[in-house]
Amino acid sequence: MHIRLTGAIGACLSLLAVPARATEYNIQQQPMAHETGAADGAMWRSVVNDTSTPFSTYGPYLATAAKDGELIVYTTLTLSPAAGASMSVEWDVMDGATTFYRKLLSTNANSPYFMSYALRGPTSNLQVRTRHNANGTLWQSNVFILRERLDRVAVVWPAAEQVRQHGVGSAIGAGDWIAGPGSLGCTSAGCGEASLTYGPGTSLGLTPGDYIALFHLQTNTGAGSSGALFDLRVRYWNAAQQRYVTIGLWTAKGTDFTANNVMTALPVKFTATSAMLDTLDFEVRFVNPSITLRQSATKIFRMQ
Amino acid sequence: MDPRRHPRTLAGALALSLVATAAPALADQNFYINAAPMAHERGAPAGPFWWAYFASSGSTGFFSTYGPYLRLGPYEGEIVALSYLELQPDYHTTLAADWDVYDGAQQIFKQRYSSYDVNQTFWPAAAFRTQPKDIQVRTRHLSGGNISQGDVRLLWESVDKVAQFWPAVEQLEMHDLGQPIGAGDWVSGPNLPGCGSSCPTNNYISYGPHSLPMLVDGSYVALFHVETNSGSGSSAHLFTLQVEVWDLAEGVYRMLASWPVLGSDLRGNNVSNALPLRFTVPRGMDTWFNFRLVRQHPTITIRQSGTKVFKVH
Repeated sequence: MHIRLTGAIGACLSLLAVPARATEYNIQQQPMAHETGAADGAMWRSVVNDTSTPFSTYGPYLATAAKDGELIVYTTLTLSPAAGASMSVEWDVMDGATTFYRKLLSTNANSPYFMSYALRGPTSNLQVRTRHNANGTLWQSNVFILRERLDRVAVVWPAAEQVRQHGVGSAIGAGDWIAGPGSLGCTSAGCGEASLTYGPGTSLGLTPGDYIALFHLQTNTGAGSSGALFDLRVRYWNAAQQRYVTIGLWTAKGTDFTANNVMTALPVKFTATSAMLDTLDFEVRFVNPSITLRQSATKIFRMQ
Repeated sequence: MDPRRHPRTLAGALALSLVATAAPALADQNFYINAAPMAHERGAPAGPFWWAYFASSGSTGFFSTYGPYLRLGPYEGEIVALSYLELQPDYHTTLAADWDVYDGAQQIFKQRYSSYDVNQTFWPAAAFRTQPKDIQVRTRHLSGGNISQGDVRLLWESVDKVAQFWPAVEQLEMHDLGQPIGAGDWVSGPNLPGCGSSCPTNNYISYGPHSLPMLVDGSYVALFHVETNSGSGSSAHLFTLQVEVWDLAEGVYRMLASWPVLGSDLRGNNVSNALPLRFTVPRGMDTWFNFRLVRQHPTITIRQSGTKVFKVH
C-alpha cells in the first residue's frame, strides 16, 4: 500500500497546480496570436489602411469549468483613425462557434476604449478577438480573464449589506432591490434621476490595487435600444473635500442588454488607493426615469 | 454638535451614556408572553406560558395574545417572528388557532394550527419585510380547548444575521441538479442540467457550504429563499429543506432539522418565499454544516436564492 507517499506527492502537486490569480495574457506572446501587427512597447500595434479585415489579436483558447463561477474578460484598445477617415474595430468574446458578445467600435478621432464582458463557463476554447476593420492604427494591451472562484474578493447585496442605502424602491427576494414607476420614492411617471443603490461605504477588506466591480441588473424595458438607462459608479468619500469622488463610471445603454427582464452582469474597472478603501461606494443611478430596474449582487474581483 | 461624537462636556458624556444604554439589546427581542407590551383579550399566566381556554364554538374567537407593537422598518432587513404554541383540545374536539403577523393595516402572514383530540406542540415562524410599522404577533383562539403559548421572539437581519450564502456563490460546486442564474441564484427544472422532461426526486438542488458558517452551540433559524413556477397552494410535497451538522465523533452528518415543504406553505407561484427553519446546534458539534434543498416534485421549476442564518439569543 503506497497511499501515504503518493498522497503526499499528490498534495504537493496539487499545491503547485493551483492556478495563479487573475490570469493575465501578455498580448505579445502565445497563447495570444495575431494575423497582423507587431509589438510596440507593452502593446500590440496594427496598422491597416486597405480593405482587409484581419484579426489583430485572438486567443488564448482558455478552458474553464462551471465551478469557476462568473468570468470577466478585460482589455484596453486605442483607436487612431487615419486623417479624414472613420476607423472601426470589432471586439468579441467567443468559444468555438458560439459568440457570447460582439461590440463594434467606430470613431473618427483618437479614442481609448476599456473593453470588458462577463460570462459563465464552462468554456473549452475561450477567445478574445479584435478584428481591425481598416483606416487607422490600433493598439491593444494585455488580456485579463478573471475567475470568480479565484479572484472574487468581496460581494455586496443591495438588500443585505446595502439595505439602508437606497434613494428609492424596496427589497425583493433574499438580496435584490427593485424600483420603477409607482415604487416607494418614485412617482407613477418614474424615479427621475434617483439613486437606486449606493454604499456600503465601509471597509471590504481590500488592499490598494486594480479591481473590477461586477454589477448585476435587469431592466423591464429598453434592452437593445441606444438610449442611456442608468449610471454605474464606483466612488469613495473624500473627507477633505466633503464629497464623493467617482473612480469608475459606466453609463449603461439598452445595447448592453440582450433582452428585457434578464439579469445581466456589467463590469466596471476601478483603481483604489489606500485612502479610498474604507469608504468605497457602488452606486446605481437612474438616467432613464421610466424603466423598472432590479439590482442583484455587486461582486468585486481583484485584477492582480 | 453631535454629543455622540464630542463627549468632552458633561452633557456630551451623559448623552453618550444614554445612547449606549439605548442601543437595542438583543434581549429586547424576546417578548415575555405574560408581560407588556404583549397583551391579551382572555386567559391568564401559567408558569412561563399564557394559558387561554375557550370551550364553545361558532364564534370568530378571541386574541389570546397580541403585541408587542414593535416599530420596525425596511432598514432592519428581513425579520423573523417566532413563538411556541401547545394546543390541548377538549375530548373529541378540534381546537384551532390562527397565528399571524399584523402591521396595523394588513395581515403579513397567517398560519392556522389545529389538533383533534390530542395535544400538539407547534413552533410557528414567519419571515417578512416591512415598511415602518408597529408589528404585532397575534394568536386568535378559535375555540375547542386550551392554548398555552410561550414567548414571542423577533429577530432581525441587521442585528441577528450571523451568516449568509448564495447557491451560485458560496455553494457553487454543491449541486446535483440545475444551473446558476443571475448573480447568485440557482435554478432546477425540466430540461435543465440533471433533468430530462422530468427531474429525479430526492436529489439535491443545493447542499453545503460545509465549512461555512462556523456556528457555536445554540439555537438558530435558517432562512431559505425559494420560488417555484407552479404548485403553490397545493397539498403536494414540492421539496424538503434540511440542516445537517457533521458529527466528528461518529464521522457522519446528523440531521438537525427538516421541513417537507408543501405547496400550501408557499405564498404564490413565481414569487420568492422566505422559509424559516429552526435548528439547534448541540454542544461540541459546531463543525461543518450542510443546508440542503432536496427536490421532491419531478416537474416543477425551483429557483433558490440566498440562505441567511439568524442566531436566536
